[in-house]
Order: sequence, then C-alpha cells, then structure tokens
Amino acid sequence: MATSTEAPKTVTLTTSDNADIQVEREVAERSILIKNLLEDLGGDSNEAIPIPNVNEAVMKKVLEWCEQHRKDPPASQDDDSDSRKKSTDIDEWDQKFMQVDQEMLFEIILAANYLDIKALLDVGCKTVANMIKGKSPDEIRKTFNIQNDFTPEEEDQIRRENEWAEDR
Amino acid sequence: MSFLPAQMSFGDLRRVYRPSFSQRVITILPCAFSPESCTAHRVGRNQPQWAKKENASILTNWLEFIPSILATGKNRQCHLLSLPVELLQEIATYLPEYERIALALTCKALQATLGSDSFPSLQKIDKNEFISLLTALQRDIPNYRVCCPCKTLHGPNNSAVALPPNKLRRLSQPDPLLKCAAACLLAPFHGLSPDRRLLYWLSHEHVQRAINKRICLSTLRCSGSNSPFSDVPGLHDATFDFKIVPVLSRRNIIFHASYDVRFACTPSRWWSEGYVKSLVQYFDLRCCMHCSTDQMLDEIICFLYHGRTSTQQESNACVRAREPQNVPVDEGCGHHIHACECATEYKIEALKEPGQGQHAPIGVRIYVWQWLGHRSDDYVLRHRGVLRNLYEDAVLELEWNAD
Repeated sequence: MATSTEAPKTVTLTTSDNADIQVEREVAERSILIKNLLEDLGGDSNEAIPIPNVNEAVMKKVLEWCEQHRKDPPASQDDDSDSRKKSTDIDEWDQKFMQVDQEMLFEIILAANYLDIKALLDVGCKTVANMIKGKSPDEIRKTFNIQNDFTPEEEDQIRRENEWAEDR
Repeated sequence: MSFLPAQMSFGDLRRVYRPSFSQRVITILPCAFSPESCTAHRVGRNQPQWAKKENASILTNWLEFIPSILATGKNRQCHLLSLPVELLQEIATYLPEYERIALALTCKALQATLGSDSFPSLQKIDKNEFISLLTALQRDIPNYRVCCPCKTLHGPNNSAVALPPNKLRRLSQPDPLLKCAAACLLAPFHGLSPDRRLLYWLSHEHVQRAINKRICLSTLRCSGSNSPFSDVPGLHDATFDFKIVPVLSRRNIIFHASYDVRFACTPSRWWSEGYVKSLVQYFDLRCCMHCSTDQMLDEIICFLYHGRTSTQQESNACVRAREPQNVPVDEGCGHHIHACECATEYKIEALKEPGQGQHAPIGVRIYVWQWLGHRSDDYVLRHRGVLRNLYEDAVLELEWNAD
C-alpha cells in the first residue's frame, strides 16, 4: 500500500454529471470513502475518481466544507453514539454554510453519508433537527412539505389511545 | 382623582366594562378576556373565538391561503422523506422524546420509521416534556386546550360556554356578560383609560358545569399579577396579584380568591388615610360582585390605620376605632353591609417585607370566599367562619384524594 508522502498533491473527482473537479488530496481525504479509494488505488495513480452519486454543485459545496475543516482532527469514533440526547449546537461557520435551500441541504446530507464524512453528516443532521425543534406535527409538515396521510379519525384515535386528549 | 367613581357598584361595572363581541360562544376559561394576565392558563389555551373574528379581514384570510396554494405546486416535493431510514433515525437522536413523537405524527412513513413504542410511556417519564408535547399538539387542534393539572387536552365539548341568547338579544342593555356572571374581577383602573378588562369572569354556566363535573375545576383557577401603574404617582411601584382557586364542596362551588395590593412603602406611616383610599380605589376589591368596592375600601383603611398596632385612633364610625380589643383585626371593622343575599366571607391580612416581623404592613391581602350554587341564601352560611371552614375541608379532601 502506498504511503501518503509519495502521493500527488491533487486528485481529480468525476461527479455524476461528468464534471471533473481538481482538489487537493488532503481536502479530498476528509471523505473516508475517497481516502480508502486512494489508498487502494496506490499513490502514483492519476486517474480521476468517479463519484457517481454526487453531482457537481453538491460536490463543490461538500469540498468547500472540507476545505474549511481540512485541519480538523479526525472524528473520534462512536464516542457519543450511545447517548440519546445530543447537543444540537453548530458552530457559526457551519451554520452559515448550511443556509441553503432544502433540496441542497438534503443532497449534502446524502453526499456526506455516501462519502463517509462523519462531521459533515452530523452538522447536516443537527441542522434538520433544529428545523424540527419546537414545532407541532402540522408545522413540521409545512416546513418539509410532508403530505399528511393520517385521516382525522386516525389522528383522533392516536390522541385517545395515548391518553393525550379527552372529550368529555 | 376626580375621574374615579366614588364607589364601584354593579351599576358601575356595566358602565365601565363594555365587551366588544357578537358571538354566543366564548372560550370556557374565566380569563378569556385578558389572556395575557393569567399565568395559570398560559400554555396551550384555546383563544376566544370572538377575538379571531374581530381581527380577521378579507386580506389576512387571503394571505393565509397563499402558502397553501404554493405548497400544492408540483415542484415542491418532500426532500426529508428522500433520506434513508437510518439517516432519519440519526436525525431523531438529536431530538428530545416529545419532539420525536411530534415528528412521528406527521405521516405514516415517519411513524413507521421512528416507531410508536415510546408514545404512552412519555406521560410517565417527564411531566414538562409531556406538557410540551401537548402544547405542540394543541396548536394543530385549536379548539382543544391544554390542562396541566389533568395532563391532557380537553376537547371542544368541554371548552366553550354559551351565553344565553335571550340575554344577548338586548346588547345595548346592561352588559350580558355581567348578567350571567356569578363572580368577576376587573383589571385595576389604569389611569384615564375608560375600558377595564375582566381579569376573571365566572358565569353560572361555569358553576353548573363544574358541579356536574363536565369541566375540571383547574379550568376555573386563575392567577396573575399586574404592575406597574405608571400614570398614578403613588402606584408607580405598586403590584396587584390575584389568585382564584374555587373548590367543589357538597355539590356546590366555593369561590375563593386572594388579592394582594403591595405598595412601595409603608402606607400607614407615610401617607394619609385619604390618600391611601384614593389609591386603593383603583383596584376591584369586593366580597361579591354585587357589593361595592367602597365597603372593602373602608375595611382596608380600618385594617391599616385602626388596627391594634396602630397608634392612630382617629374619630371614625369604625367599630374597631372605639373598641380595638373586641374586634378581631383580620375580620374588618364589622360595618360591612351587604345589599345582596350572597353568602360571602372575607379576611384581611397584612403584607410585610420579608424579615421585618413587627413592622407596619406595606400592603394588604384580601381573602374572599363565596358560596356558589343552590342554598346560597342559607342563613347558616353567612356566619363568620362557616364558609372558611367548609373551604378548608374541601381543600384537605382534595389533597387527600391527590395522595
């Protein structure tokens, strides 16, 4: 297996819409998927790496985040995965970064999941959690454009079964 | 102070309070007319229906429709549900239990993803979280209301009182609200404003429903605080607190209220009787709604100035001023005369600064008990102490049952 000191400084990523993006290897390696791929390919490879699940716009956004967080220490594995209640604090730069439309937000989350960038995935999930917080079911539906497929009778039944509501 | 009425009676109530509503049905909460001043019903209340109608215009109705028109467009799709199950579950780990339930209730897909196992158990885990869930759910069903003591949402059948149509027909005549009121409390008089809101309004229908257990008594319990009165010099830092806790006693309701009037200084030391009288007139303090505030005013002045600890024994018609030893301090001076037949009782207590045991009071607390229901004209009930003891018994019974 090649060592990273011999590797070229940049790598080329080919997105789903056939765009080539040149990026520094250190930045690209924030993605565990790309890192493993590069290690498997060997250090001297100049081949473009295909990323078939992510389009150019999303990839650029993800790489922008990786660029900003290139010096971050690697994520500690599973240290808080058991605790049920996690903090939803997001640092300022990430908050601004996540101020995008919902389509892009969920694309970023899917891309972060696919590319295996734990820290970015966490930021994405926290952003969505913050959008849900303090809202009633109907307000959540309006926020995310979810179609309500419960009938009023079913909703009534849920409330009654769980002793949330009574009508004497 | 010339703009103040010399005394407040039932007739004055009609004059100062003019409700602007046109519907027969209003929310059952006695604080419906001053939603912001009641702390007991702060969360998840169903707002008075008349308020909505009054404020709505054609424009605002249309503005409400626009988002729903846009939402039905084809290009708006749900991106959240495009996430795989494990990511949705990951997002849910960032949410407290009650928000996870709110998310699960949005659609069947999310309910299946997040599971409904934890639904019933929340009630037992954390009361605050459970109330938060109910408060959120209530926003979607605005004709329900959250009841914190009952830990549930009370339904629409249990949430509105109807005003008798025959009383509403003559709207220009004496106030229909006061005609069907069993007890009420007006907001303190704020300067020159001609309108005085009802802080508390208990109708005979409320009483009947509570006796028949068709509404819970906690619905009728209100409390709140009013301050400051910036336009009256003596009342700059004064506060007015009220707490109304009716109980059920032998298939009748005993209305019980405590009103605190607290000044910034010790009135009996710094102010004259006349001045304090002019200040206390701002508050609606009475033993029943037919009685005049002037009667209670005399009692308060007597309590502050002619008490055992007071050195001022000015010539007065007051019984205590003549025989201070024989009249209990907290029971007024005994010349309080009712014109009505309400069975009521009252008690005055001194409010002191914490840590100042023997000092003169900085305010007064007035307790009022009133028997509502049948037999209210029973002579026995009007003996001092009877109503109070019945109330104490009912409270003890309530606590016993709660344990």
